[in-house]
Amino acid sequence: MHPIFDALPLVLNFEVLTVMLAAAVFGLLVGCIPGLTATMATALLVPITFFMDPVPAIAAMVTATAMAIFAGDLPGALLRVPGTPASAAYAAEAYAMTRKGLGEQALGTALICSAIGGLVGTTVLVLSAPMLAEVALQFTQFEYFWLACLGLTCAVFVSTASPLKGAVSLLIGLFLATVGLDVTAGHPRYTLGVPDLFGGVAFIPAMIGMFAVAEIMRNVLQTQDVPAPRLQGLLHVFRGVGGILRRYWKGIVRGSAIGTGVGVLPGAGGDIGAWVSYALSKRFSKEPQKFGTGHVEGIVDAGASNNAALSGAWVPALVFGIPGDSITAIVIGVLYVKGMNPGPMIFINSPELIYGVFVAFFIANLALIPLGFLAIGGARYILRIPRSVIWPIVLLLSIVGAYAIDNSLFGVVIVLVMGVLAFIMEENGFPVAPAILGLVLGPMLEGNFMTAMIKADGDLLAFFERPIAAVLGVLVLLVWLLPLLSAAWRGVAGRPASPISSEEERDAR
Amino acid sequence: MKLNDALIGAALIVFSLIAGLEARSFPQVPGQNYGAALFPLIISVGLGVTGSILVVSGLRRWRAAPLVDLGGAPGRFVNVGLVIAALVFYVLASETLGFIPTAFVIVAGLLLRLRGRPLSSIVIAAGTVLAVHQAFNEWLLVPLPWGVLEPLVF
Repeated sequence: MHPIFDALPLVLNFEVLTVMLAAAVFGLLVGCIPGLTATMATALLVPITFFMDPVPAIAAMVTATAMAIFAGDLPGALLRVPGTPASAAYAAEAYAMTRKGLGEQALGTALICSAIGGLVGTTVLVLSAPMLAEVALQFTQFEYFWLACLGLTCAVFVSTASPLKGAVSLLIGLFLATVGLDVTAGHPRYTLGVPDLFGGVAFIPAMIGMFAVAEIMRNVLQTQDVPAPRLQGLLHVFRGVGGILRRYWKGIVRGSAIGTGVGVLPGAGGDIGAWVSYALSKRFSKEPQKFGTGHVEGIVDAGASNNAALSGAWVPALVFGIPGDSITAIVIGVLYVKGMNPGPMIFINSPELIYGVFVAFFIANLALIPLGFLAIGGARYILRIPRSVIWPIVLLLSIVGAYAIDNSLFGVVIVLVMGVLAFIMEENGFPVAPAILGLVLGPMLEGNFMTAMIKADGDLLAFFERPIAAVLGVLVLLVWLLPLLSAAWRGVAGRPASPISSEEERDAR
Repeated sequence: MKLNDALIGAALIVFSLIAGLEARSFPQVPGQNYGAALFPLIISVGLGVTGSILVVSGLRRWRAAPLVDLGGAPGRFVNVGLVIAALVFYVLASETLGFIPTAFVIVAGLLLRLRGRPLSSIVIAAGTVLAVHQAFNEWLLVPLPWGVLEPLVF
């Protein structure tokens, strides 16, 4: 019998469905409140799910994030303030629709497209992950080393406009990953003599610091509250949506496909998927001049895209243990803490867990339609909660959450240090996602390298001896060398390296 | 709070030197080419190189970008300082004062600062702290410290 049938009773029972419903309400609230992100929802859920069985724990995170990504559209359309970064690409467009009296239609379209995008992404995940896992079973430390390199490189290039700042962020994450007893000799590194650091920088408090506390700091900088929206009842949410979907069906396909693809790429999640999809929707549109004036077409693409990215990110996370976005980075950290190392073996040892995740994804995206509908109706009330009330409460939850992991105040210290670090980084244009990836993938990178070198007796060429490893290795080296080669080529051709540098030269004069 | 890239770059260089020097003291495993020091050294070099590039690009824009740009009134950072102070206060006080009084001071204090309205702030803070205490202490069995309230409970 297919393992999915074993998984059904694991998810379709009262306990798990109740947990999912509670997580859904939590996700909708968090997504709807500007400043609280889907990643933060996951980080705050971790201390609670920590005490649960794996399936309800992961089902809760899957549900909360799917809901949060859609709910981010609500304040986008009603207030022009995106609820999560994933809605930022089309918040202005949705708000323009609201001003034209089409707010219900914008939200109805976004809701249906979110659900479709999520279901497409999930289908890709369900079909591709087990196949990739078969391939990954053949992988040794050599292949995993290159995969980790590829994931980290990807994070630097896709997550930010400035690869240099992305690289700094990645190096900071990798450095933090070296703290603790090292993998080969058990020598304490950078522990400052603190026994709490021997096991490394505790991952969950670090996540809470970087995603919750840093966000609180950024938000309390502006003390002004967002004005409460004045809205009529949102009752006719689905009026005209059928026609829009028929008219722009290509946009749904395109948005879902791009979203899934961007999600699979390490370091890029729903926010980048939505930006790319919105831009491509405009480029391929028959009426690009309408974009920005309250035109629904871009919302179709981008709305499907950000939810598809959420599912896509789980492909590399489950198969290789390489997170596709910050949310799956947290999930991987949790799986490690629970002693269930992600990777192809998990497909063999506990397939019911993997298929449980798949079932949870389908249920979450289907439940998105009725629950999202209710959330659209309730958005007026949620958005009336003054945000100044939210931050102290989130701070308290962060503190207790970090403390709860191992009942140690040191977790709160890590929250503080990582929160300040992430706040300073983001204020100065350093993206946080590469640092998270470095923190998660650092031990995998170093561990695989060291084991591989012991196997190969220190011969570096062994990294190119197995066929897949050789292909991956050459790919990584090409990606590293291309920017240098192109810079050198432009230098030879005597053209300015980039428009920015010529601008800088002007500034210097 | 935007710092000039040169400043951040310089900080990264200093940090990379400290981290690199420390890494050189990590012991080698006999008979192996690569040991505990390898990755920290590579990362230190990487931080040094990227830091240097940041210094160069920051110096180029020296005139355009001030060393430290607060991006508004410095008073805005009082709130950020209060968030940091709240975390420090929790670490220092929660064991002796106990969770409920410490958390109440933090939540009520921040609410008063962010929105004023003393009465409703105190009510919200009390409700939040008791709800969080109930959820974590009773349902999730996290032993939150009772502190000064201990004689009243036991």
